[in-house]
Amino acid sequence: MLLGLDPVLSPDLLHALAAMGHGDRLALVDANDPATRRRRLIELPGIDMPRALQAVLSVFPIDTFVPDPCAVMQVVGEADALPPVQAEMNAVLAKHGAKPAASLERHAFHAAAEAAYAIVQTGERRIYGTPGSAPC
Amino acid sequence: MLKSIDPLLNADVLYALRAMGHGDDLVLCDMNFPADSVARQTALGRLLRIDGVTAGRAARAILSLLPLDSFVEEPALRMEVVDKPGDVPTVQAEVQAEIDAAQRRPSPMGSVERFAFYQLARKSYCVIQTGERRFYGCFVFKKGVIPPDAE
Repeated sequence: MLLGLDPVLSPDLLHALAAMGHGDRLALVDANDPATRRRRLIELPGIDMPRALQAVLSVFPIDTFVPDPCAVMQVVGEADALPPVQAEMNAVLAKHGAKPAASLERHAFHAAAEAAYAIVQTGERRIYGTPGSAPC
Repeated sequence: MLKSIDPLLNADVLYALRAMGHGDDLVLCDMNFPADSVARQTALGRLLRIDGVTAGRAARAILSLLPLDSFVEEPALRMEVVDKPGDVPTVQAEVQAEIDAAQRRPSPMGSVERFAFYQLARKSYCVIQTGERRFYGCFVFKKGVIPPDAE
């Protein structure tokens, strides 16, 4: 526990966030995501996606140099659908002054996430609970 | 860079501060301290650095996040000047001011003889070496707790 810091920010997560620089991407993924195939993995079991995003954004500046600093995975076959988990994520983004996440087709999303600096796998069980974001 | 976190707190230092628990000791040391050899014997097992700043400035950064232990009388300690245990060099007065500011009240540090300090440091969680060149810029901070209803 540290003064003024969200307790969801674990030692490993804090380390990764502090080590990232401008333009580095962080992928936040749900419990079904094949996250272990990819980069540095930080696990937050038991924490749902909006709660994890809230903790991350308490210290993490979102990039203002790009039009769409945040993106979520599109529902397969329903590109315009907005599952509740994604709506909740947009609400957290809005609280931090960020616009709603853009959406990426599933495979494009995976490709983007594979290039991320780190993957944070939450305990989110709802499907399509998988956005990514980039820092300033 | 992260929002609302002192930029002196690099990723490795942040990791250690967060990983420590109640009663774990953190050693803040100067440039002459046998930092690497002592750090290899600590819980973390490797030396952490906050280069290029004084002990006071590094203490301010650390104490912006680290709660001092309220369960013990002297949660912060300074290394005694050899043969002059009562002396408080300027470098130690500067750190004392940072402690008092963080605690929002006067909280005088305890003191430890040099070799006893080395012994204590080997049993600590981690050692952070600063850019402090002045002698006796060596301190121990004991981590405290944050209650569930606190921010």
